Amino acid sequence: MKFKQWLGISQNESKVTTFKSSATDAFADSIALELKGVSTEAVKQVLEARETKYMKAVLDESYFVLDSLVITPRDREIAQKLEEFLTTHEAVDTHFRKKFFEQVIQREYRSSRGSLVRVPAEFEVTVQLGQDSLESLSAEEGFQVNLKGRRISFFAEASLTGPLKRENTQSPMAKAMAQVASSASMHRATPSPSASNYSQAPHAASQLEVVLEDKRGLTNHVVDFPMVIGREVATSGIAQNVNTLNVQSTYVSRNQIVVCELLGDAYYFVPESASLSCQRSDGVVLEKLKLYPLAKNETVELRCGVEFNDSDASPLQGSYADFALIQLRLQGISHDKTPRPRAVP
Amino acid sequence: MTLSCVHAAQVNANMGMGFDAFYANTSDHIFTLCDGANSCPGSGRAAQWLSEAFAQADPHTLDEQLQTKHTQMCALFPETGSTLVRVHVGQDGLALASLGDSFLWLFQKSWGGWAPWRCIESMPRDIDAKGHPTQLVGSEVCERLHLRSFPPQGRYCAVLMSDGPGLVISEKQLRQRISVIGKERPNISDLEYLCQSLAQDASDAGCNDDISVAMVWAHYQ
Repeated sequence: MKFKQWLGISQNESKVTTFKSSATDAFADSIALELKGVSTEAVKQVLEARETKYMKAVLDESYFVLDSLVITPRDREIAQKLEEFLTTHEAVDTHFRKKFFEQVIQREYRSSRGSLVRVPAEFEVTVQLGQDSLESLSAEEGFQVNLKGRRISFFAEASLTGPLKRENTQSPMAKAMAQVASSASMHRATPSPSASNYSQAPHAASQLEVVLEDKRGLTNHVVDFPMVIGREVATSGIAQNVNTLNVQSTYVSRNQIVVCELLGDAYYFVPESASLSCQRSDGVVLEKLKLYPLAKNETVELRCGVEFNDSDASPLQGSYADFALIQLRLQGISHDKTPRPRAVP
Repeated sequence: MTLSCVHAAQVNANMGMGFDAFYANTSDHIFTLCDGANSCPGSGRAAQWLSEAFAQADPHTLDEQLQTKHTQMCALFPETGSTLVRVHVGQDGLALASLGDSFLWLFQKSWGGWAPWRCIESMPRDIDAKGHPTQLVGSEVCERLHLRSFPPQGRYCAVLMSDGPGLVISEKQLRQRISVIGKERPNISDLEYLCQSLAQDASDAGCNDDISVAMVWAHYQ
């Protein structure tokens, strides 16, 4: 009889089962930690060397991009173990190498001075064998350890690009408009396979003509996409790349109409924040967030100051000072090259 | 009085047609940006030549230089034309010159650097109703160089741009970017970053033209 049984304590109560991790798992755990450490050190080292060239204000509003990270095993034994480990797992999962190093690399790194390194989503670590990786350690080299006594197994070298400007902190409306703006610019920057140059892209060949009739009388404007028309719209936190046009009349929302371009076609809509709608010349009262297409060379007349749920509204008769008239027209323009000035005879 | 001057540029940042040229004469602190008319194939080389020619210190006045260089350019690069914006940071003050449709702004941080950066000059652009240049160096019309001068006091930041980015970047955006510098003396890397970020802004705003941005920071103490 064991001592515990003699005391009357059941053996089952104190039974602890320990699952021993296999040698491969232990290797993976230790290697992942080590790789994480050396890669972080490498990134921090290159970042700290780089950031001294920039003033704090620049670092605060920008970020660097991790361009490359090369990890080199320090001796033959480590190189063999790592290669075996990766090859064995890759036989089961072909994407294992990528997945493993995704765990090793952080999404962001920061220095004590406040600079930031971002790692692109598609970033891949390079494992590269150096001269040392092919040679076995001598007895003395086997004792190469860091200051705290840990054996150094890997060497890492990182390179950065940048700095690039960080995204602005914007209001939800501004963010939405910036997305529209960027999608428009992306569309412009990527010509279709059939297009031989940018001037053939749909957006590049069109401009928006807006005729306003409000307290100021009749005014004509030619503007680019995307465009927000409304009362005091210029001061309502719209994104930088968005054009604005102010309407001076009594019954008009702050952000009344948004005109934007999506996939080469122009649309107008009443944004969520608008408290009043507009009525088209055909009697249709615009619904919130519904996209209405704007065809090239077609003129759309919108009268401001209509309630949203007024589906059978009769055409407004009030003055333009109270109920402004907005005319939208998509006009074709030619993006010709800069001509050489000629003398006038 | 001591003068510190730092400059940086992003020329043809979008790797577009390559009609823009920037030249920095760092010993005399003369900086030029030229944008060749992209309807004429040789204008890129003409702009390169002009930017170098106008960045040399010359005992003649700029008006006299203009006529000389214009005649030379007509002979060397016939059927071309180029804009010119020039900043000279001299011991006796700052001299700006412009001709054509390129952009040149001058910002100042007054009150010993305690006031915010503000635009004190936006050089005239020679354009017609369609936005096309009405005069260019080396073209049939090259009549007048716009000139401005500023006293040797405090901190200045001049921004030179070709018409592509200049048309899509507002003065407010520029002021916002320059405000990053604050009261400090920027490094070349800082100005390079600002030029690059402005070029990126222009590209994001849909600029299809050549994108060139240059900055010259000067401090008279």
